[in-house]
Amino acid sequence: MAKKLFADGVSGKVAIYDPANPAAFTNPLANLQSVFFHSDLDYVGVAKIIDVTVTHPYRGVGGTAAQNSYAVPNFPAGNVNPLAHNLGYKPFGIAFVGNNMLPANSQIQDSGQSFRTVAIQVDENSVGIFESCYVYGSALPAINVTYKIVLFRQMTGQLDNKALHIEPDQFKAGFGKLDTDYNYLRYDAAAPDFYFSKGRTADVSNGSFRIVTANGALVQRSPYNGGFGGVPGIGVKI
Amino acid sequence: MSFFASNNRIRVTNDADKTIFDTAQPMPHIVQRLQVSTSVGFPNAPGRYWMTSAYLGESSLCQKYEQKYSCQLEYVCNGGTCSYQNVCAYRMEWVKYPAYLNTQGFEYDAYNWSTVVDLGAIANGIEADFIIANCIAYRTAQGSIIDVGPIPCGLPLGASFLANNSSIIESTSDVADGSPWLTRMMSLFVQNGHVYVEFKHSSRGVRQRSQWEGGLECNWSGPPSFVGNIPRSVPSNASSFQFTFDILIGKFTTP
Repeated sequence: MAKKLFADGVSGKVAIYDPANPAAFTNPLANLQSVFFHSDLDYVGVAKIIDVTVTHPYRGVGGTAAQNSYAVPNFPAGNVNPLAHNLGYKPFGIAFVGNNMLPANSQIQDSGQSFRTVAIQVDENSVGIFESCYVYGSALPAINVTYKIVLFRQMTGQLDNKALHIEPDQFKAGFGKLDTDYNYLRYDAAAPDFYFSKGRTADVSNGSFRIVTANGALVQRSPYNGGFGGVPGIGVKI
Repeated sequence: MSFFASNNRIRVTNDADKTIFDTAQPMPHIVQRLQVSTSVGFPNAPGRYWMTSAYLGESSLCQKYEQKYSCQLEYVCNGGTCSYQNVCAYRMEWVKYPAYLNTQGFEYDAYNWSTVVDLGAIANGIEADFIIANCIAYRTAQGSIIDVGPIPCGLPLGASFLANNSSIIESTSDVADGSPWLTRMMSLFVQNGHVYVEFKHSSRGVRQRSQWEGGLECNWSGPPSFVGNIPRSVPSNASSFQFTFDILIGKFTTP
């Protein structure tokens, strides 16, 4: 299939599309099968990558079982490690907990009836590892966990005033939508940095859970007895 | 920076020779942003208390030294004549009472529940390739389990968190063996040009003894009752949440 790079000096729109389908330039969303780049589309760039190892502290048990009462669980929860990103907007992102893109509030540690979970909290200036511990009969020892958090920049609106801008050290197209100064995401099945998914990545059955991440990693605790197989994700390279 | 163009491929690299754009590698882009709120009420998994009593018979473990009207043979002399006679009278003696071994506890039925909410249609009927989501969760009602109390939620309630695809909402362990016993979750997914969220609950049937187990109880004046301080009904474990989603619906360009 031929590719055509076309810049409209009047509208400022720039597109790379299949010339056999001219509508791909005027109405890209309805002709996505013929579009390779279009300045009307909002691309996903990488704004920041945070690699961090967090020491989750020791969490002791709560009240002991008295003769006439049950044990009292200890339930500490909070943001154990705020990490500044200073983007000035609340970003979208993906997170690896260890080697896996786990769902929010997944267990990262368990001992007896006790367990520790994490979720990734975001605001305009920072991301945080929000942990919660459910400590019943067994204390949770301190644990080190590595995190990789990729925060996205959504390339929306007019980012520049030039339809096409080519210099020896920079290429810009579509009012800055395509800019060699940025890291864009691209499909890559062979050696992806992470995965996008359109489906479920976890299931519950028999009181327990099974996680099948977008890259096929399986995390499960007995006695899960369902048949969840996950939804294959799409590999993405930065 | 390099710009390569041929009949079927356009590729742009930066100064470090890193590929920034390549028509041979589809780029993800956002076709729609969906900001929507919904609420869910996870139903109560049915549960109750139970008690069993094993009759142990009249037992020396349940005896009182008390006045009792009874008859017994006594050697009685009356007017120079002595003989054994059955003499009935009130007298103090050890009296045995029935003993019961009570066992008390609670039980929950196995319970599974799910519901799917349509959050909205995707413009142009596009079949999306992926979704990226942030979410803010509020818990409007917190359920409770009899042995461990309020059900914990590990989400940062009231704050925004990464909610791509599935998220665990609430979970507790079986106090007997530590395995997950109740788990509630949600999953965002796209299907047939719509974005949905599924809420799902699963809890196992369980029958537990109470921590204090009741133990031996003497029947002084009537049938055995529940051991003191044990509530007769289990609390509701129903929880309710409100979720505000900010969802990017994405598509890859054509390879």
